[in-house]
Amino acid sequence: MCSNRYRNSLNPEPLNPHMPPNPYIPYPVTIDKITVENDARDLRTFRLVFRNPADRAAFDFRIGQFAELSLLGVGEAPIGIASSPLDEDYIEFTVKRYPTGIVSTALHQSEVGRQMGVRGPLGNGYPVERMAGKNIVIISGGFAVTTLRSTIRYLLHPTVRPTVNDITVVYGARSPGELCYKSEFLEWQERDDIDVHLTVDKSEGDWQGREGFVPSVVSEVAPSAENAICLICGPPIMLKFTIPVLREVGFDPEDTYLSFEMRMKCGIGKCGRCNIGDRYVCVHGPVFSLAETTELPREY
Amino acid sequence: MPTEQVNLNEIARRLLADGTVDVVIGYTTGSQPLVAVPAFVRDPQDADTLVFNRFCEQNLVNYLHRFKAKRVAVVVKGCDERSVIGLIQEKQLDRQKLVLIGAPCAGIVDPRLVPEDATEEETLGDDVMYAGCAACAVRNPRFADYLIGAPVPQPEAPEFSDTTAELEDVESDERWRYFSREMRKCILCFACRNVCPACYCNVCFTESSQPKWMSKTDDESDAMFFHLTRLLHLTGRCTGCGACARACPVNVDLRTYNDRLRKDVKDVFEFEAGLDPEARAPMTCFRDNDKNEFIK
Amino acid sequence: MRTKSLSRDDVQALADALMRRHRVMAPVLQDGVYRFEWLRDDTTLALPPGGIPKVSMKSALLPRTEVLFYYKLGKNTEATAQPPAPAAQVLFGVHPCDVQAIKVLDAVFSAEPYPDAPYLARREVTTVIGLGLPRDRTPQTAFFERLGIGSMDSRDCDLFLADLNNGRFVLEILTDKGEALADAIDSLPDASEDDLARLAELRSDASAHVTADIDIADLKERLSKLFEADMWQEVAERCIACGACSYLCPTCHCFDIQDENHGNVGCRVRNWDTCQFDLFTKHASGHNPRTNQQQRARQRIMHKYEYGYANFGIPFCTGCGRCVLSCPMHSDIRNVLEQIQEQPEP
Repeated sequence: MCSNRYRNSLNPEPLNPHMPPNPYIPYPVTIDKITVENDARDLRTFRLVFRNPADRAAFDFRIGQFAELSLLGVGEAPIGIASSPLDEDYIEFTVKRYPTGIVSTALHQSEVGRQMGVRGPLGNGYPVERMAGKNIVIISGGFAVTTLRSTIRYLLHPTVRPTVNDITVVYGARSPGELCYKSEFLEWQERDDIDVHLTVDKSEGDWQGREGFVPSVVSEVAPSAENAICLICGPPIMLKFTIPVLREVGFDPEDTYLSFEMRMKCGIGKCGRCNIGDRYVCVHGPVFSLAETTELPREY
Repeated sequence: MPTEQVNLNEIARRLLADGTVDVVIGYTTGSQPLVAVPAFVRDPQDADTLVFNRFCEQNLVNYLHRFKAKRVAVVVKGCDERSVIGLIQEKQLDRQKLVLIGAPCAGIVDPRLVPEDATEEETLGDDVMYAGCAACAVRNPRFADYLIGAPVPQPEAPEFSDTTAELEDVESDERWRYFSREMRKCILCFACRNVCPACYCNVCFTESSQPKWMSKTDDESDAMFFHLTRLLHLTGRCTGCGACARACPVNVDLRTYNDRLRKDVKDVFEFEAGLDPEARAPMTCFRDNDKNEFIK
Repeated sequence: MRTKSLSRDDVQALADALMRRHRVMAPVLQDGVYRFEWLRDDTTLALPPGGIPKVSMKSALLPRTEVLFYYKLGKNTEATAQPPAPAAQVLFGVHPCDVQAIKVLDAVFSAEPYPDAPYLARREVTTVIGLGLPRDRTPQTAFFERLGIGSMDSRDCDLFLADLNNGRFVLEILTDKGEALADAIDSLPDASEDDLARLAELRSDASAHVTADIDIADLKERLSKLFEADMWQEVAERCIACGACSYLCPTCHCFDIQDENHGNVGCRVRNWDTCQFDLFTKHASGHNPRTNQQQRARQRIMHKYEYGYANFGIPFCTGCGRCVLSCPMHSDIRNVLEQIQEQPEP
């Protein structure tokens, strides 16, 4: 139902290629590549290139940040950035399709070459400044792994790898067909500068790897908490059972970081809907330390 | 057998103390003059906080949707009782779990009509009643388990509001102008919908994004779409209780349109919602002798 | 500071004069409701007796629907365009509690790291003419004095129109923006000694009644411990979860963003929204952090009196009382504040 007043004969000015003064106008991008990530085909990675080359430099992001993906005429959706900040020519997002999600549905029906928009980078990101000289432990389940994949790609970059010590990864999915970025993770498993433990809840087909829930695998791997930062991202049930394991192994809540999701619209702390207590997930988050999380009221 | 007449506070206390009901929904005094507020009494000791007077305008039946698992007593005026009948017919309420405390009502005061310097008596005159009350045909509840006062006189009253009749006689562009003017006032706060006992969808059409049935901009076409669709959904179900018109914070004239809807339903289907527990609502059945005049 | 004397007729004439070069939003009376509306040639100004029109001037700064940008669709030809720059506007007759509400909106929408350009563009071209009244005309529902605001407070106004309650008004010109309206004001007589004396008297009386007894810092502390308290059950019980309180509130600013298409052009707009609607926080997955009215009622109170103060140092409430007046179930936020004071230490 379209409101009559908003019929508008448009003057198609091109978008200001530099940081737009109007924070609601997205950078124009084009879909350059689409990868289906899982057997269920409801997870797709979209590689986007900026139509104005200068915008990529302006879109200077940190691991753990997100952006509002914009489809003109449809709407926006807040999605974590899945590519590394050091991937210069493009940015990537992995989007799950929800039947009730108008943007995710329209995205999944899109083809390479479709023009769309990106607004960001938004949010606080993972605490990169705390990672120098530390051991990094990364734990994830399901499709929550997107910003952690960005993190791993970033940490493995030749200019970054020397700045951190050991990197340990535990990543699990319900079944082999649901593992995201599978070929990348299998490659990383072969490297000796990163210790990757892949697991599935239930083995299937020709899966030769581990079978076991993420919390129990973490327990087995028992990463040392000494001089370590832990980044953990997963469905509520996984968090519920993994966090006690981390505590047992000696991880300080100040050194463990989670990333939250919320229904968002503006993404810039104005529209009032994404708060948990007095924290706006879009501005003060989406990354919070476990210590901060215990201070937050239970409304997420 | 005439319905037992009781004292409101005593019956509330009794029903709670002997465990007949879990909660009594009624009215109590609010923080402002000329209005009452809904009260939810669970402790027999709080039964004395309940009141009934000419400021008790809210249709409390609206709250029954939240108490389906409980046994509830609710204070109902004659207009409110019609909502109970309608909801029972729609299988939303279980009569066995309900105790209806009927309140004979000679009309509710519209605080907007009471002058600032009015005396106590002046606040109770007929000239300061809600328009719908002047037209009320059900001043005495008919199906209540108890009555909290003596029945009040039931005068002959025109059934539908004056503006409904007036609008029928004017040209369509005049009618459109009036409708547009009213819709421009609407801020889509949905107080009218939320206060209506007949509006109880888990997900209202206004809240659907897939598909997105309506926009919520300040263009009056959005307000029109909302109100017209709600009216359509209320066909044969609106009892004319007036709660929507009273709830509107910006005085949109909803009564004219709801009354027109009820008049059309009466003319076409010879049906009025919430009066006869045995009658079947027109949108729920087909009768061979349904009028076909609209087919040209 | 320049001051002018006006009669009641002069006030209407002033509004008319301002309309020559500006859009003017002022109180009018429509079907029994006082509303801030854009004045047209045929509109009569109607200052409500209590100074607080039911429909506030919020929409002049945060329109009920605001175009964020226009767009054109097309296979390889998508484009966006900025909305036109807003026209200069005057808010005429803004009660001190509403002026303080504008400060709340200013704080939220100018906050770093993302200042809200559309709001700030509108704010920049807005001149505020405050309205002062003798304090005994304060409506029963208003409680701004308890929040430290007086009915003759001229702070944060560009001009201030004081109603002397005897058919006469004094206009104070306070800022450069106020002086910029000189062509509409210069012809008015300078304020007389009598008028100024009466103003001083009424102002002194108004200040004397500012109790400021709602201790916001204390309220915030208490609320920070009351998230799990039982009191929200009672607060929410009679609430029907409509948007009347939020939409009439001059500080409530939550909004939704939607794309409105017509063929292959359209606009991305923001519309007023409220935390009282179920859809407000519902995820695409169907998960909703707030599924019942207790949680939503709690959110409203927390946002107003705890989070607002925690993040910006000011409460998101200026005691105008519109929520008390407009609630269909006659809930009274002052009762909630009392209940908060009465809660035992957890």
